[in-house]
Parts: sequence; structure tokens; C-alpha cells
Amino acid sequence: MSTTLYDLVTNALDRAGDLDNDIWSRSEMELYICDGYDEFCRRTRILYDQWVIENQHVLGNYQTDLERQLASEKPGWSVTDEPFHITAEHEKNNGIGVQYGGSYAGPAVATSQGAIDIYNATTGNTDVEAFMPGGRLPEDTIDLLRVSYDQRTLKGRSSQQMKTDDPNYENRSGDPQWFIYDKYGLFNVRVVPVATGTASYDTVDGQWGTLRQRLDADSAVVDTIADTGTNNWGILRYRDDVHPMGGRDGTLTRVHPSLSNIVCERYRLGRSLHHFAFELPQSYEKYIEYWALSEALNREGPGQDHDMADHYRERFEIGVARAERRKREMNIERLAAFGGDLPYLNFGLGDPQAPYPYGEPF
Amino acid sequence: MISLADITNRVRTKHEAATSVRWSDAAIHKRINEGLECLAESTYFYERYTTIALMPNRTWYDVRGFTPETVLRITAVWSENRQEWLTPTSQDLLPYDWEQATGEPQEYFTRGIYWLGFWPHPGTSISSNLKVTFAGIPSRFTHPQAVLRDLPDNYVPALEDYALSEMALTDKEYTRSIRLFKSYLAREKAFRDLSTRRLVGAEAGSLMGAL
Repeated sequence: MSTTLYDLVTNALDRAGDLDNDIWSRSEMELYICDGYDEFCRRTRILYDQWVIENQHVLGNYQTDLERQLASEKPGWSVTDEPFHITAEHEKNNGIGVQYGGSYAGPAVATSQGAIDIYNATTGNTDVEAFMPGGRLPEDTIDLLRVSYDQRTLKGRSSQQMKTDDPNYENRSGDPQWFIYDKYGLFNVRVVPVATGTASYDTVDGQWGTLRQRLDADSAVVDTIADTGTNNWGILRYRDDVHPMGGRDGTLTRVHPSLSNIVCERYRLGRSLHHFAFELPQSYEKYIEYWALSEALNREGPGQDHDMADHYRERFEIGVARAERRKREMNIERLAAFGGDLPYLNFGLGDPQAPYPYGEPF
Repeated sequence: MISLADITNRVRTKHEAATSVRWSDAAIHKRINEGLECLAESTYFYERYTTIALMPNRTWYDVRGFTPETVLRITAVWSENRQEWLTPTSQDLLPYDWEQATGEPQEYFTRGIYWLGFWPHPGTSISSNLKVTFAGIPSRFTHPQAVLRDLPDNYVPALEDYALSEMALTDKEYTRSIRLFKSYLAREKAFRDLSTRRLVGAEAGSLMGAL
């Protein structure tokens, strides 16, 4: 059974002997628990995940999820009603109703005159295409480990290195070879050259219901009419070639293809305990509770006890050290084969030793 | 083998908490189980294997989906199709386009504490299993008569020390708690030595080494 924030707070209060909230309220303990959860995940980097930047045409620019939805669902909306990225002075003349000035985060969508031109509503061009310069990782990202395009690893470059390698990289488009992660906003990844939006996503038919697998390369929403044939309903459990489906929880909404898509591998924080269950192993619950107790016991006022607080903090540190070691030794066979800082020799005699006290006087 | 009920009674005796007025069985069980998890994580004494059925076009497998226990470390992977061991590796050592290769897995790697990946990954038509041996954390004791055969009786006091230390902490007996926790750590180290140095005696003895 999954552990919830309520469980963790109750456990912490139980350890503190204050289930009646005489000293610490539940809401106060909640803050400490959430803080400890973040601290533990940030320090240990044990939650690995993948995030897909959809390599699909972005119709105009967007700054919020709502704008993105509107831009995707209502082509033309963002072209005429909202600003889009402008990368040169003369490009300002090409938009209709754009707002000048301001600052934007993220790499520019329109990277060439040709791309800008097709935004121009006066051309009557309804077949709008744009490039896919990258995207934003969720802010719970701790470390970006790897970026791949079309199942090939991209090389990370600082923006300065990239400028040296290719002074015109801003205008390049094609299959991405590199990525930049240091210039366009804290969590924005820019691929170079910009991708051309060629990822091929499933068409999802139907409007409501549960997505299920219909064929190997097809997904569909269960509608009100049962399909013919067998095995036509049920929750989709996996889809070939797609990372999140290897997980154990959750229901699909839409699957990301690996081909011609941009996949970012990362370490992240645990999801918010206010909305999701505790993601770490059950054996790590206590460490989060130790953190909360150390914070609670350090607070001025009734119940303050620095010795106990220090002890709980120490126990939290033990937990962090164990989790770090666990991640390091997850692939223990490789460590043993290629050398590593194993705390204990698994088998064998240990370091070679001379059969006499070498170097000491007889 | 000592059952959970017996361990609980021994904890009650040592803590002089014969009745469940102050300490319920559930509260003591919780602390014993936490001790068991700590001990397993530190000593790697709980060893098991599981079988992973390969899926077409899948590189990554979430080990949480294959075992009821928590996996601590992968110790080996055997391919049923190729009839040989997979080579442990790291993604950094693979070529830049490693994800595009398909075929029978030959190497494996891990990411974080949950994800196990294979190279190359299976193509569209494959029917094969991998046998994965691992050290893990056993499932918690739930029933009073539950026993854990992997844990030798003479290391059960480690669980008792852990539970007692936690109980003392809750009772604000700080000094006693520290003493008991140190006692637990000493027993943990002894058990870790037993678990991780199992072959030392045999090898050292056969090579005339000094034990």
C-alpha cells in the first residue's frame, strides 16, 4: 500500500509522542516532511526519469500551458493574438498585432526569415510549419543526464563552445546533434540544429474513456461502442518502445514515440506529496520522518531539544549515505569487475600482502 | 527461526513493557520491521532471483514491477536464450547510437535505484527471459507467526536493539537510545562481515593464509 503525506505526518508525530498535536500541528509537520523529502531526493539523486520534449510543430510561441494548448488546438490563435519570439529587428514587422518588447524564456521558435514569413497572416498561409528548438524540463529536475534525438546521444555544449563551433547555429535546422543547457532559462534545453518537428505520434481517436492498446503501433480511446474482435477493452498496460509504460503505476494518456523525438534523461525530486504517494522505497520513510523531527525539535518553544534534534539529523544523514551507496552499488557486478570504492570485498583475500613484514627491520 | 511474535515478546521483556498499554504490538512490529530493512540494506543478506520477460522494443525495465521485495543491487543477469551471462556496463561506455541497436541483450546497466536497462534491446519479435539475481530488502513481517529464514537466529538481537532504541527515543530516553543504537550498529557490522566475506575463510584456508 502506498504511503501518503498523511501517513508520514502521523508517523512523525507518533515518534515525537505528540499525536494529539499539543506541540506541533499537522500542518507544521507537513512542511517539515515535504522539505525532508525534497532534501533527501536532491542529495541522493536516486529517482531517475525520462522527459520527452515533443518534436512536433509548435504553432507560434507559448509562455504558459494554456497558451500552448490554445496554440496547438487552435492554429492561428497565437499568430494573431499573442507575441511570438522575434530574433531580429526586422522580424517585428512580420507579425500582426504582436507586442513589442518584453523578455521571454526558452529558445526561439522562429529561427529564420522563412520561418517568420509563414507566421504572417497576410500571406494566407494556413499550412503553418515551424521548427522545434527544444523545450523546458520540469522544475523538479535535479540533474540532466543525457539528451537523445532519434535514439542517438546528443553532445552537450556550452553556448560559448557552440558559438565557436558554429557561429550560425541559431539558423540551422535539421537533425539535432548537440544540446545547450546554459543560456535559455534555467530548465530550457536547446537542441542544435533545431529539429523540424517530425516525430510521428499516434492518432488518438475517440473523445473520452480509457486508452487501451489496439495494435502494436496504435492506441485508441475506448468509446461507447465496443469494437469487434477479442481483447478489446481494459487499461493499456504498456506500449512497445516507450519508457513510461515500463513503470508500474498510472494510466496512459498519450504515448511518446522514440523515433525522431527528443528524450531527456534526468534525476528528479519526488512528486508533490500533496498529490502523489511517496515514491521512495518504504524503508526510506523513516529518514524523511527523522528530518522532520530534527526540524521540529530545533524550533524554539515547547518541545525544543537540540540533542534529540542532532541525533535525528544524524540518522537522516545515515539514510542519505545509505541511499547514495545503494545507487552506486546497484550495478555491483560492474563495480566489482572494473574497480570501485566497494566498502567490503565480496569474496577473496583482500589486498595482496607480502609474506613477511616488508620494509621493517629484522 | 524466531517468529515475529517471539521477537516482540523479547522486546517487551527488555523494555519492561509487558502489557500493550504503552506499546501496542503494531507499534513494536513497525520498529522491528524498520530494523529489518536497515539490516538488509546494510548487509545484503537477502538474496533472491526473479525472471524478466523481455518485451519487444523495450530498453528499460522497472525492477519494482517484478518483485515484491525491494531490489538493492543486481548481482548477475543470465540470458535464457543465449545461455550466458550478460556483461555489466554503463551507458557511458556504449556508442552514441546504442539505443538503435536491436537484438538479444548482451549487456546491462542501471539508472537510479529502480531502472534496469539492456543493450541491445530486443527487436519487434522476441520471446526470451532473463534471470536476474539480486540482493534486496525482504517484505515486512506482517503476521505474528511470520519468520524469515534468511536471518540467522543469532542476529535477531540486532532487530531487538534497533526496536528498543527507537522506543527509547520516543520515550525521550535519549542516552539509552544512543547506547542501544550503537549496540545495533555493532551487530549490524558483525552480520555484514558474515554476509560479505563468506568465501574469505575457505580461500584463505586453502592458500595457507592467516585467518
